[in-house]
Amino acid sequence: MTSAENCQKTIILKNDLAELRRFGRFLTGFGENAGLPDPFLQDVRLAFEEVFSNIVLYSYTDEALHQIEIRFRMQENCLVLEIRDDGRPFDPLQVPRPDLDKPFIEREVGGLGIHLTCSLMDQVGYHSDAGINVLTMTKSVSRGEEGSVSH
Amino acid sequence: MTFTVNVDEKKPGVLIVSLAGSLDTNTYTQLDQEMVLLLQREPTLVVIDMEFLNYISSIGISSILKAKKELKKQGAELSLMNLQPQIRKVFDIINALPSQPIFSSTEELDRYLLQMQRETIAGQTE
Repeated sequence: MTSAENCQKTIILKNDLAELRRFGRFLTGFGENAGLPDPFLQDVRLAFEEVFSNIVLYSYTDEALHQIEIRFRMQENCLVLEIRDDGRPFDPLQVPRPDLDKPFIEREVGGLGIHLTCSLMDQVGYHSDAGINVLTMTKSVSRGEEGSVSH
Repeated sequence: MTFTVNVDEKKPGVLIVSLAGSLDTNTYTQLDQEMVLLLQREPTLVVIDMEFLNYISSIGISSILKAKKELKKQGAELSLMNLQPQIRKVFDIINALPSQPIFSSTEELDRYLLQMQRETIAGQTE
Protein backbone atom coordinates (compact mmCIF):
# COMPACT_ATOMS: atom_id res chain seq x y z
CA MET A 1 0.00 0.00 0.00
CA THR A 2 0.97 3.65 -0.07
CA SER A 3 3.05 5.43 2.52
CA ALA A 4 -0.25 6.77 3.82
CA GLU A 5 -0.77 3.51 5.73
CA ASN A 6 2.17 4.33 7.96
CA CYS A 7 1.20 7.89 8.77
CA GLN A 8 0.52 8.47 12.41
CA LYS A 9 0.92 11.87 13.97
CA THR A 10 -0.20 13.84 16.99
CA ILE A 11 -0.65 17.56 17.49
CA ILE A 12 -1.45 19.24 20.79
CA LEU A 13 -3.44 22.47 20.64
CA LYS A 14 -4.20 25.01 23.36
CA ASN A 15 -7.83 25.86 24.10
CA ASP A 16 -7.57 28.95 21.91
CA LEU A 17 -9.49 29.46 18.66
CA ALA A 18 -6.39 30.94 17.05
CA GLU A 19 -4.94 27.41 17.20
CA LEU A 20 -7.18 26.49 14.25
CA ARG A 21 -4.59 28.09 11.98
CA ARG A 22 -1.87 25.85 13.37
CA PHE A 23 -4.19 22.88 12.89
CA GLY A 24 -4.77 23.92 9.27
CA ARG A 25 -1.05 23.95 8.56
CA PHE A 26 -0.59 20.62 10.30
CA LEU A 27 -3.45 19.07 8.34
CA THR A 28 -2.02 20.33 5.05
CA GLY A 29 1.35 18.81 5.90
CA PHE A 30 -0.21 15.51 6.93
CA GLY A 31 -2.34 15.48 3.80
CA GLU A 32 0.64 16.03 1.54
CA ASN A 33 2.52 13.16 3.18
CA ALA A 34 -0.45 10.84 2.95
CA GLY A 35 -1.42 11.96 -0.56
CA LEU A 36 -4.87 13.19 0.44
CA PRO A 37 -6.72 15.38 -2.07
CA ASP A 38 -7.57 19.02 -1.30
CA PRO A 39 -11.40 18.72 -1.23
CA PHE A 40 -10.99 15.85 1.23
CA LEU A 41 -8.76 17.97 3.47
CA GLN A 42 -11.16 20.89 3.24
CA ASP A 43 -13.99 18.69 4.54
CA VAL A 44 -11.81 17.48 7.40
CA ARG A 45 -10.73 21.01 8.25
CA LEU A 46 -14.34 22.12 8.49
CA ALA A 47 -15.47 19.03 10.42
CA PHE A 48 -12.65 19.67 12.88
CA GLU A 49 -13.26 23.40 13.22
CA GLU A 50 -16.84 22.76 14.27
CA VAL A 51 -15.77 20.30 16.98
CA PHE A 52 -12.79 22.30 18.17
CA SER A 53 -14.63 25.60 18.49
CA ASN A 54 -17.32 23.87 20.56
CA ILE A 55 -14.67 22.48 22.89
CA VAL A 56 -12.89 25.81 23.29
CA LEU A 57 -16.06 27.84 23.78
CA TYR A 58 -18.18 25.50 25.91
CA SER A 59 -16.14 22.68 27.38
CA TYR A 60 -14.21 24.44 30.15
CA THR A 61 -15.63 25.82 33.33
CA ASP A 62 -12.41 27.61 34.31
CA GLU A 63 -10.19 30.18 32.63
CA ALA A 64 -7.13 27.95 32.72
CA LEU A 65 -4.97 26.81 29.87
CA HIS A 66 -5.88 23.36 28.60
CA GLN A 67 -4.42 21.01 26.06
CA ILE A 68 -6.42 19.31 23.35
CA GLU A 69 -4.69 16.38 21.75
CA ILE A 70 -5.46 15.33 18.19
CA ARG A 71 -4.17 12.00 16.96
CA PHE A 72 -4.08 11.41 13.22
CA ARG A 73 -3.75 8.03 11.59
CA MET A 74 -4.47 6.32 8.29
CA GLN A 75 -6.35 3.06 8.63
CA GLU A 76 -7.63 0.97 5.72
CA ASN A 77 -7.75 3.95 3.38
CA CYS A 78 -9.49 6.09 5.96
CA LEU A 79 -8.24 9.10 7.82
CA VAL A 80 -9.01 8.75 11.52
CA LEU A 81 -8.85 11.74 13.86
CA GLU A 82 -9.07 11.26 17.58
CA ILE A 83 -9.77 14.48 19.47
CA ARG A 84 -9.07 14.27 23.21
CA ASP A 85 -10.02 17.05 25.62
CA ASP A 86 -10.15 17.29 29.42
CA GLY A 87 -13.22 19.53 29.56
CA ARG A 88 -16.46 18.66 31.27
CA PRO A 89 -17.82 15.28 30.11
CA PHE A 90 -19.81 16.02 26.98
CA ASP A 91 -21.01 13.86 24.12
CA PRO A 92 -21.82 16.18 21.19
CA LEU A 93 -23.65 13.33 19.45
CA GLN A 94 -26.37 13.62 22.11
CA VAL A 95 -27.20 17.18 21.09
CA PRO A 96 -30.61 17.18 19.36
CA ARG A 97 -30.38 17.49 15.61
CA PRO A 98 -31.31 20.94 14.32
CA ASP A 99 -34.67 21.24 12.58
CA LEU A 100 -33.35 21.73 9.06
CA ASP A 101 -36.83 22.36 7.66
CA LYS A 102 -37.19 25.56 9.65
CA PRO A 103 -35.81 28.75 8.11
CA PHE A 104 -32.25 29.06 9.36
CA ILE A 105 -32.82 32.19 11.38
CA GLU A 106 -35.74 30.69 13.34
CA ARG A 107 -33.86 27.58 14.39
CA GLU A 108 -32.71 26.83 17.91
CA VAL A 109 -29.09 27.74 18.45
CA GLY A 110 -26.76 24.77 18.60
CA GLY A 111 -26.41 21.40 16.98
CA LEU A 112 -25.46 22.85 13.63
CA GLY A 113 -21.74 22.33 14.00
CA ILE A 114 -21.96 18.66 14.95
CA HIS A 115 -24.47 18.12 12.15
CA LEU A 116 -21.92 19.52 9.69
CA THR A 117 -19.19 17.34 11.18
CA CYS A 118 -21.30 14.19 10.89
CA SER A 119 -22.25 15.05 7.30
CA LEU A 120 -18.70 15.69 6.20
CA MET A 121 -17.18 12.62 7.86
CA ASP A 122 -18.20 8.98 7.35
CA GLN A 123 -18.27 8.09 11.02
CA VAL A 124 -18.20 10.07 14.25
CA GLY A 125 -18.11 8.39 17.65
CA TYR A 126 -17.73 9.49 21.24
CA HIS A 127 -16.43 7.78 24.33
CA SER A 128 -14.99 8.83 27.65
CA ASP A 129 -11.52 7.57 28.50
CA ALA A 130 -10.76 8.01 32.22
CA GLY A 131 -12.45 11.40 32.31
CA ILE A 132 -11.11 12.51 28.92
CA ASN A 133 -13.62 13.20 26.16
CA VAL A 134 -12.62 11.29 23.05
CA LEU A 135 -14.30 12.10 19.75
CA THR A 136 -13.25 9.88 16.86
CA MET A 137 -13.95 11.00 13.29
CA THR A 138 -13.33 8.80 10.27
CA LYS A 139 -13.42 9.63 6.59
CA SER A 140 -12.71 7.28 3.74
CA VAL A 141 -10.38 8.63 1.09
CA SER A 142 -12.26 7.29 -1.92
CA ARG A 143 -15.45 8.92 -0.68
CA GLY A 144 -13.69 12.25 -0.36
CA GLU A 145 -12.25 11.97 -3.87
CA GLU A 146 -15.69 11.50 -5.30
CA GLY A 147 -16.70 14.64 -3.46
CA SER A 148 -20.01 13.18 -2.42
CA VAL A 149 -22.04 14.49 0.47
CA SER A 150 -24.39 12.49 2.64
CA HIS A 151 -27.43 14.27 4.00
CA MET B 1 -6.22 31.63 5.83
CA THR B 2 -6.86 35.33 5.85
CA PHE B 3 -10.13 37.07 5.23
CA THR B 4 -11.04 40.38 3.62
CA VAL B 5 -14.33 42.23 3.18
CA ASN B 6 -14.78 44.93 0.60
CA VAL B 7 -17.94 47.01 0.18
CA ASP B 8 -18.72 48.70 -3.11
CA GLU B 9 -21.74 50.77 -4.08
CA LYS B 10 -22.91 49.43 -7.42
CA LYS B 11 -25.67 51.98 -7.72
CA PRO B 12 -27.61 54.02 -5.18
CA GLY B 13 -28.93 51.63 -2.56
CA VAL B 14 -27.24 48.54 -4.01
CA LEU B 15 -24.14 47.43 -2.14
CA ILE B 16 -21.82 44.62 -3.21
CA VAL B 17 -19.99 42.99 -0.32
CA SER B 18 -17.04 41.02 -1.69
CA LEU B 19 -15.63 38.35 0.58
CA ALA B 20 -12.26 36.73 0.04
CA GLY B 21 -10.38 34.00 1.87
CA SER B 22 -11.73 32.12 4.85
CA LEU B 23 -14.91 33.08 6.74
CA ASP B 24 -14.53 31.08 9.93
CA THR B 25 -14.39 31.10 13.73
CA ASN B 26 -11.42 33.45 13.67
CA THR B 27 -12.65 35.92 11.06
CA TYR B 28 -16.46 36.20 11.25
CA THR B 29 -16.32 39.20 13.62
CA GLN B 30 -14.73 41.18 10.77
CA LEU B 31 -17.85 40.60 8.70
CA ASP B 32 -20.12 41.38 11.66
CA GLN B 33 -18.36 44.73 12.16
CA GLU B 34 -18.56 45.58 8.48
CA MET B 35 -22.27 44.77 8.47
CA VAL B 36 -22.97 47.16 11.37
CA LEU B 37 -21.49 50.00 9.30
CA LEU B 38 -23.27 48.82 6.19
CA LEU B 39 -26.69 48.87 7.86
CA GLN B 40 -26.20 52.56 8.64
CA ARG B 41 -26.02 53.26 4.92
CA GLU B 42 -29.62 52.00 4.62
CA PRO B 43 -29.25 50.01 1.41
CA THR B 44 -32.20 48.45 -0.42
CA LEU B 45 -30.23 45.46 -1.71
CA VAL B 46 -27.02 43.89 -0.42
CA VAL B 47 -25.31 41.28 -2.57
CA ILE B 48 -22.65 39.08 -0.98
CA ASP B 49 -20.14 38.19 -3.66
CA MET B 50 -18.34 34.97 -2.77
CA GLU B 51 -16.25 34.51 -5.88
CA PHE B 52 -13.03 34.60 -3.87
CA LEU B 53 -14.30 33.00 -0.70
CA ASN B 54 -12.75 29.56 -0.47
CA TYR B 55 -13.86 28.40 2.98
CA ILE B 56 -16.85 28.93 5.26
CA SER B 57 -17.83 27.33 8.57
CA SER B 58 -21.21 27.31 10.32
CA ILE B 59 -20.41 30.49 12.25
CA GLY B 60 -19.69 32.26 8.95
CA ILE B 61 -23.09 31.25 7.61
CA SER B 62 -24.72 32.42 10.85
CA SER B 63 -22.99 35.74 10.44
CA ILE B 64 -24.36 36.23 6.91
CA LEU B 65 -27.88 35.19 7.88
CA LYS B 66 -27.82 37.44 10.94
CA ALA B 67 -27.08 40.34 8.61
CA LYS B 68 -29.92 39.24 6.36
CA LYS B 69 -32.30 39.37 9.31
CA GLU B 70 -31.16 42.88 10.28
CA LEU B 71 -31.53 44.09 6.70
CA LYS B 72 -35.01 42.66 6.50
CA LYS B 73 -35.99 44.76 9.52
CA GLN B 74 -34.99 47.79 7.46
CA GLY B 75 -36.99 46.54 4.49
CA ALA B 76 -33.87 45.57 2.54
CA GLU B 77 -32.91 42.31 0.86
CA LEU B 78 -29.75 40.25 0.97
CA SER B 79 -28.70 38.01 -1.92
CA LEU B 80 -25.73 35.77 -2.57
CA MET B 81 -23.57 35.69 -5.67
CA ASN B 82 -20.86 33.44 -7.14
CA LEU B 83 -21.02 30.57 -4.67
CA GLN B 84 -18.10 28.22 -5.25
CA PRO B 85 -18.98 24.49 -5.09
CA GLN B 86 -17.30 23.98 -1.70
CA ILE B 87 -19.20 26.95 -0.25
CA ARG B 88 -22.55 25.88 -1.69
CA LYS B 89 -21.98 22.43 -0.22
CA VAL B 90 -21.80 23.84 3.33
CA PHE B 91 -24.97 25.91 2.81
CA ASP B 92 -26.67 22.81 1.41
CA ILE B 93 -25.72 20.54 4.31
CA ILE B 94 -27.30 22.85 6.84
CA ASN B 95 -30.08 23.78 4.44
CA ALA B 96 -29.40 27.48 4.85
CA LEU B 97 -29.60 28.84 1.31
CA PRO B 98 -31.90 31.84 1.37
CA SER B 99 -34.97 31.90 -0.84
CA GLN B 100 -33.81 35.05 -2.64
CA PRO B 101 -32.27 34.61 -6.07
CA ILE B 102 -28.63 33.53 -6.05
CA PHE B 103 -26.68 35.22 -8.82
CA SER B 104 -24.15 33.12 -10.63
CA SER B 105 -22.42 36.09 -12.22
CA THR B 106 -22.25 39.88 -12.24
CA GLU B 107 -24.09 39.84 -15.58
CA GLU B 108 -26.96 37.99 -13.99
CA LEU B 109 -27.09 40.56 -11.18
CA ASP B 110 -27.04 43.38 -13.75
CA ARG B 111 -29.99 41.85 -15.58
CA TYR B 112 -31.88 41.49 -12.30
CA LEU B 113 -31.22 45.13 -11.36
CA LEU B 114 -32.31 46.31 -14.79
CA GLN B 115 -35.50 44.31 -14.47
CA MET B 116 -36.20 45.77 -11.02
CA GLN B 117 -35.61 49.25 -12.39
CA ARG B 118 -38.04 48.63 -15.25
CA GLU B 119 -40.65 47.33 -12.84
CA THR B 120 -40.20 50.36 -10.60
CA ILE B 121 -40.59 52.75 -13.53
CA ALA B 122 -43.60 50.81 -14.81
CA GLY B 123 -45.10 50.99 -11.32
CA GLN B 124 -44.59 54.74 -11.16
CA THR B 125 -46.17 55.45 -14.55
CA GLU B 126 -49.20 53.29 -13.96
